[in-house]
Amino acid sequence: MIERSDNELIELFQNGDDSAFNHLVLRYQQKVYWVARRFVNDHDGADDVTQEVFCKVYESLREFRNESSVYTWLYRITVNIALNSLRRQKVREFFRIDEMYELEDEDAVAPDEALEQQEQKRLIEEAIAKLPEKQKSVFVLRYYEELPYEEISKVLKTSVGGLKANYFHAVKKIQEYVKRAHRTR
Amino acid sequence: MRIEHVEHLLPEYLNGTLDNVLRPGVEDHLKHCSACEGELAELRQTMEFLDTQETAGPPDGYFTTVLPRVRERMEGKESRNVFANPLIIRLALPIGVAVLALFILLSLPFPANEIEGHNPLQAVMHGSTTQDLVDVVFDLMPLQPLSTPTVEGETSSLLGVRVLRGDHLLANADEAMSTQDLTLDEQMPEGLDQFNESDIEALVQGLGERTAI
Repeated sequence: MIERSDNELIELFQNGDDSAFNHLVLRYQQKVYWVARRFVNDHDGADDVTQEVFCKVYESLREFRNESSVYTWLYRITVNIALNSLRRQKVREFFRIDEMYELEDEDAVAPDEALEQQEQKRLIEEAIAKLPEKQKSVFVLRYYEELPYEEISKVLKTSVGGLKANYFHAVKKIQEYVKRAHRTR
Repeated sequence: MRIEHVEHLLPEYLNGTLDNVLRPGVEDHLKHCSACEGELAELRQTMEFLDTQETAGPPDGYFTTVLPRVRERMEGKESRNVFANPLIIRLALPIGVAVLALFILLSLPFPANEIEGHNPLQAVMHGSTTQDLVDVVFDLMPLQPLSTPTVEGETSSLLGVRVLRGDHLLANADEAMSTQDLTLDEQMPEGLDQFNESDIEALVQGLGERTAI
């Protein structure tokens, strides 16, 4: 199939060409995966979110009305499903707190230079994980996806001014979390 | 342009995406505000720290597996959908119609309540026979000796019917039931829900006369 625009693919799909959906998946799967990965922090979780996003897209594609661009719509679906996945994860973790503490203790054993990089990465992931949902969404879309605020505003349906404040506070919280972690080591 | 504090604009300033209209104001502010200048230094350090961190990508070949698994998952969802089962579809319509019909029947108002000016006795005794009423009256009426006088005009609170007529009641209800006189007039309707004012009056009178000496 020749390279078609998103809107053309959607039109084809809405007119009964099911294979147009495949092209959308292949076009956006990496973006969706990486946004999901920033939210849930592990490959399996990100994979699950990615599949769920495309299932949702398939179900909703017939009603898509070009009121927003496809990738804004996709980002919105991804953020919502990723946040839902995190909420479920929190509930699961609530019921196995002891297990979590054991894992944390194991991770904290013997600082090793070879593990330093991994430790820093873990710190950032923890810091991002602890952000409130809105700040986390803004941070992921702005920092990792490098979306302009105007685009994030369409995805999250928030004013640009509010997003800038959210982003700043997110960065500050990450900064404070990392500092505190370094002080206590 | 003089700005109070510019901290919310610092991330954009730092990565070079700040609006050209705002940039000179922010730069001017930073020259005079040590707090915002300190904030900028910390922010730069944090962003550099973040930039050094790389997240490991998915396993090789992962992206070739997404589409087939999405398709598989959608098929799984469809087969789990109860309405995809043809037997359920065939049963759903008749069951739905039956439930709807039952609901409509149950929600219909009680006919006796809708007749304006309907005698409350009819609602209470709906579906009862004349004999039922006689039984009820005798069950509820305290049995009194022949010599006990009653108060003229006393009214039964349950039936709203003047039962006592200022006469003496029978000492024994069974005795009253056994007498030929106690049989109500053949003209009286069998179902009390058909009674009108005059029927009730006749019934009351009949009861009164038959229970009086």
